[in-house]
Amino acid sequence: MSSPKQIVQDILTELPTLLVVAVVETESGMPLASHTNVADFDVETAAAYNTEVVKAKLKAIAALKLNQTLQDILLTLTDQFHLLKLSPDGKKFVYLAVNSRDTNLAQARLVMKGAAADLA
Amino acid sequence: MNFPFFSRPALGKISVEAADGAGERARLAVEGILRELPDLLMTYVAEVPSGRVLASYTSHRSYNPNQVGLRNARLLAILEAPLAAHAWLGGPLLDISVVLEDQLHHLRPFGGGKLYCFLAVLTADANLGIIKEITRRYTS
Repeated sequence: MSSPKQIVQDILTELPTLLVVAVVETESGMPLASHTNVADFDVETAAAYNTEVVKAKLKAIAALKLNQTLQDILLTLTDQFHLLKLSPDGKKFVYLAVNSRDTNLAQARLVMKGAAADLA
Repeated sequence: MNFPFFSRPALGKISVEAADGAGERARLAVEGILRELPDLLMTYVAEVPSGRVLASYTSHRSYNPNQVGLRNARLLAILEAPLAAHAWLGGPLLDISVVLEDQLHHLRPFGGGKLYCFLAVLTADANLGIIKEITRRYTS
């Protein structure tokens, strides 16, 4: 098990050109650790919105009464990928934003998979 | 009185709930996606922000588009807020993919943001790249 700060550092090492990475507490929507390569980017506000996305999708899955665990949410914007990866217990998630010209979806997912497995 | 939320869709056939142009467009999208992915669990086209399902196909009783249409429309509304506030970098939103244990759910807004298409498949039957491309093809 790694600390949120270590997970952020590990992802940054793997993807040095990333835009934003954060480990967020699902209940509060607050980042436990974060890093951004974009000046003036408000990580706390982005984390709060991302938490609402996670909760909305959990409600949609609950409405269908599917016996399924939510693993990843991938948002494709015109030139970016935003990935939300839940920890095994769902209490935290990793948020990663990358430019699609720097990092493809498979690379980003692979890095996130390794990181979230260490997040308890 | 008809409450769509409580209605059960017919299994294994395309249902079209709107007789207008939007309903026809929705039917064509559902038909096209079903032709490419005949083993899909559910696909539908719904209005934003009402969540009203215009056309749908479901292969299993658990996958009722009427029960999830509004929730996914709300998910899109939630996503609009950070994009409008520039709390996220970039935009606009092209699609959302959700990975579950053995399923993929995909949601793509189209028609100037007034409609969205939803697709659920088993990961054994399709992959993320395929469902993104097929949904894009029939909603562009």
